[in-house]
Amino acid sequence: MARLLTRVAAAVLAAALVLGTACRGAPLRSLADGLVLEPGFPKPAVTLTDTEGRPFRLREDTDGQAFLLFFGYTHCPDVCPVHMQNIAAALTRLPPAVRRKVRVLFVTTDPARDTPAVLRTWLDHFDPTFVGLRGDSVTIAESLRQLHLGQPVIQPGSDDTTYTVGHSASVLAFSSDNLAHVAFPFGTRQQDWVRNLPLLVDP
Amino acid sequence: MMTRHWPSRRHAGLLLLVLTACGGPARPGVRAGDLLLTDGFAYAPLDSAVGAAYVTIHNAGMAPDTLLDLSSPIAEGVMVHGGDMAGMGPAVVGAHDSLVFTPGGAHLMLMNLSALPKAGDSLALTLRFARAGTVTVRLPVRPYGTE
Repeated sequence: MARLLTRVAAAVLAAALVLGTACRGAPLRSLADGLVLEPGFPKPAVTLTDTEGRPFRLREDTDGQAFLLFFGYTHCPDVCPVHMQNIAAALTRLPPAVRRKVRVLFVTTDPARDTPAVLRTWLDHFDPTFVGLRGDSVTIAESLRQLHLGQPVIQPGSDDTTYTVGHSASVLAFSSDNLAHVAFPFGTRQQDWVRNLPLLVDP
Repeated sequence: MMTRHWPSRRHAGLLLLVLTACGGPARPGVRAGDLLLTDGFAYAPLDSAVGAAYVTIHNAGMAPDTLLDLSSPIAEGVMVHGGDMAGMGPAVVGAHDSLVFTPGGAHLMLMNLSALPKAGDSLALTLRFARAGTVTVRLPVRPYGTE
């Protein structure tokens, strides 16, 4: 997976460099600890399903909202639970006014094992307000492509239930202008989120 | 006459051993033959499906060694996963080299857990190597997340 992560990080970095950093405006763009995406990435116009079975239109249902978007899976050994735990812990350290404005969306790259119930139970370990989303493999692949994130790479296990899914380790931060301006890599700590999330909601 | 530069690769291995043994506060580690296992820990698993453990294996010897088998009393199985070890062929630690399992890279996956150790507990992990034989380490259990 390290190789994949390196490739994804390199791709995101390359995109950020190629696209240039000409227009620095909102504080998050200039002060963020993550990789700045210029111009920001728009949201894929896809419809996913939340853990209650309701349709979730990624573009329309988040219109004007700040949120963090991460693609991962519940059998993930470290990157996913570390990100989720760090974000959840950081949110508890922020004022309610900030906390209320940051949504966290977790899209599974492993819908076969991550049933709605499995996904809900797993996210509840961190924060019951985190939104768990599922979609078919075509929808997920298209979403990842539009967001310049690597496609899931299945690495077989000893049997059908122990495979791992290589995936991007970046958390995309969307601002109220409906664009992702920053990608936060694996290694982003709670103190980094505490510093950055207020800038995300109140640029 | 053969001239050897110092420190050579051979000496580097010796140096590692010396540094490990005498350098400042002793680096916590477990020795097995030419191998030294350091920086081991496991994350407190969220559920019984899967757990993740990490260790760094330094080989101070002149020959590569191979990690043949892994086990833990609380897991139905333990395997090497991720990194460049796709397909889980035997993980080799080269002569004078280190094999690093670390978050975001390769990890040791514990499957179907019979117990859920909490942060502050420890977890036994047994590693069987082709040359160094079998060694058991107790890994401290940490919560997910980084301050």
